[in-house]
Amino acid sequence: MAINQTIYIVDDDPDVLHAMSMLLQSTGLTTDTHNSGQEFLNRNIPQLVGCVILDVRMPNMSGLQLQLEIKRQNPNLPVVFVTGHGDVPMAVQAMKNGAIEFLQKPFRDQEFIDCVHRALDINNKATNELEHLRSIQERIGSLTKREHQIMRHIADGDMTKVIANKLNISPRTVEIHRARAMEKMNVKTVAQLVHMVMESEI
Amino acid sequence: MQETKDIIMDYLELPTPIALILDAAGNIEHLSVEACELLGYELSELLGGNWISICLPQSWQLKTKRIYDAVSAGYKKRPQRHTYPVLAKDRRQHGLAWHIEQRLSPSGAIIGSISTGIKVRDNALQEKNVLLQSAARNQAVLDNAIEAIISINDQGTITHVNKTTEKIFGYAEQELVGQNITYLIPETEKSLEQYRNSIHHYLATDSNKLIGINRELSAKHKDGRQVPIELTVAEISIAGMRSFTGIMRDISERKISEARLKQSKEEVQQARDRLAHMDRLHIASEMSTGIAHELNQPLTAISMYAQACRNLASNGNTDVDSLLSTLIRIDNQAQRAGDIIRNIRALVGKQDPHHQLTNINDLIHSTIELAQVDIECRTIRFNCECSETLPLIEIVSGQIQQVILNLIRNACDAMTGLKPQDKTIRIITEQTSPDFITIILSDTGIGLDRDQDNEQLFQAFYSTKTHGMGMGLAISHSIINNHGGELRVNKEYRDGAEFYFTLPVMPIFGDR
Repeated sequence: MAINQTIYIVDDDPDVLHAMSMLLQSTGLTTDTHNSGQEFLNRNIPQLVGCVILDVRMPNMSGLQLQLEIKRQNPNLPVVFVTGHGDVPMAVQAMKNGAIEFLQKPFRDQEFIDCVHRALDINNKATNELEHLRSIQERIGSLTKREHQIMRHIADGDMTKVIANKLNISPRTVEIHRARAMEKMNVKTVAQLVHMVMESEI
Repeated sequence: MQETKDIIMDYLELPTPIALILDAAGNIEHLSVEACELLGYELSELLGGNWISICLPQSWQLKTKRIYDAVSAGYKKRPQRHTYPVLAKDRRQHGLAWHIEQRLSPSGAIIGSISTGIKVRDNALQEKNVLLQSAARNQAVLDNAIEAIISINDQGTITHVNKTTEKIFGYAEQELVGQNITYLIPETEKSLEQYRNSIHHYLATDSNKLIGINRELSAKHKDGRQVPIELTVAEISIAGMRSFTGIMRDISERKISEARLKQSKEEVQQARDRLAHMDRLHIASEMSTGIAHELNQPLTAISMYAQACRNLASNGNTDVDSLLSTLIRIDNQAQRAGDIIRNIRALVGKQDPHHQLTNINDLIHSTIELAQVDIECRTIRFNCECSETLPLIEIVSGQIQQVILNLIRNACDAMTGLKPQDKTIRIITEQTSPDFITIILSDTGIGLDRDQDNEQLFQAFYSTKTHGMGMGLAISHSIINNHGGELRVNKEYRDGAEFYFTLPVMPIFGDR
């Protein structure tokens, strides 16, 4: 798990909320507890890193409603459901909406902890990917117009001479721009550069 | 027979007038021979004696003296006709019709009275006939009464019984007369003593304790079986002799029909209890989702706290305080689970059908807690305005809880779809009269159809809900009725629905 990950727990039952929080803390995790969906939504959801544990049955705003709202604001924040009495349609709906797990109370503690770790891993991967993508975007953003133009042609598979012809510049100039772009994009080979451009365009 | 003969002799006897001469003071100056014969005195015994004080029964003396005084004083100039009895030497009385007039001296002064009397034969005959007839009639009444009528003296000895006594107890009259009354009513020694005491007490104090009060006792038939009887005692005083007449009714059949009635009432009650129980099971099944959730909460918490403690301990955490506080939390959660199970058991388990002294406000609060097992119910705001001065009342608390739960759940259903802040249930308890407390429950829901027939509302299987069984209000109504109260709907209430029910402060045990 990543250092800055937090487990957000939303349950209207203060005892269960406290017990879940205490169990997770005893395994060294960071928790943040909320008594209701509304209270949790007051947080800056898009900025949260970690995962969310939701009780399905809560007064006013149900767990399923809250899940949709979280997904809308932060699709990379995995949701784990816990429920005292989950019926099948409810579980199906939760999973369709992208829940990691639908745990029935009382569950085995290890199952719960494993589940939370899985959610954190998913979040971690998603976060890393996002980070990776963001750094590619950032690097692409640092290219000059000409460098970016030449990188696009390389990614399309054009040879240096063809690019020079198309842009009506000398091959030598193309090579200089290519070298600068590869340096800025922090890649050693043309193949790596092509891969990165493709990643950025997914 | 002797009496009848006397009457015939009287009738055949010819009337012989008797003559009586008194002076102005009412003293006897002369009596005819026939008068002396009738009275049984020698003439010499009576001459000079006062006629009224010697020869008249006490009760006639004053009245008769006035007539003689008036005649002697000259107020009554005309002859007087007057009927009064005379008292013979043998104390027998003879009725005579008298003709009384003034006796004047040659100078015209009143010197006394002269009376002639004729024995009133017809009257005497009639009187005796009436007496005889009435005696015969009385005997016929006594003998044909459906009650056994037994006279006893103040020692408890039977002096007379009627024919029905023979029928009810199987003894002939002669077997009973002379026996003590305990022969028929073999009470235990203690109640026998009480019985004697009550007679003696009555004789000593003249109190009305025993007389006229119906008592159920067990008497003994000649064949040994017990006969349940109802006893009424009347006192008869004849010539200063007190005697008691016991009127005993055979209540075997009444006892049997009473037992049958009791049995059928019990059956009705059992059916009602079963129905109420079915309704509770129905509520419980509707609430089962909530119940499972509610029970899983503390179990989950316990499990997680225990695991947390294990994690802390195995990580070498030596923070005893945090371990202890977590153990206390585990304990609390176990208590919480127990409380839930108790609540559910109270709802679906066999009910204690007995009246218990109950604080109605506490019952309402625990019922709200139970209702809040349901997630829908938890979003509702409860406003309780409970009077703090209510007396404890004797109710079958499980059943009253069922009524309150039914009303809360109905209110909850009526508010489905409203925003949480618009959902309110208001419960008011108050003592509305010295004998009754009233519980009012209103909601902010869709309310009732105003054209709705009130009667129909409380009928079984009537429901406006798609999933309702239609039993809740009908059973609640019958529960409240059975407690001696009333369950009603307030049709004037406009902001939703308002139901109210009353419960008596002193229990009215209805059919129970």
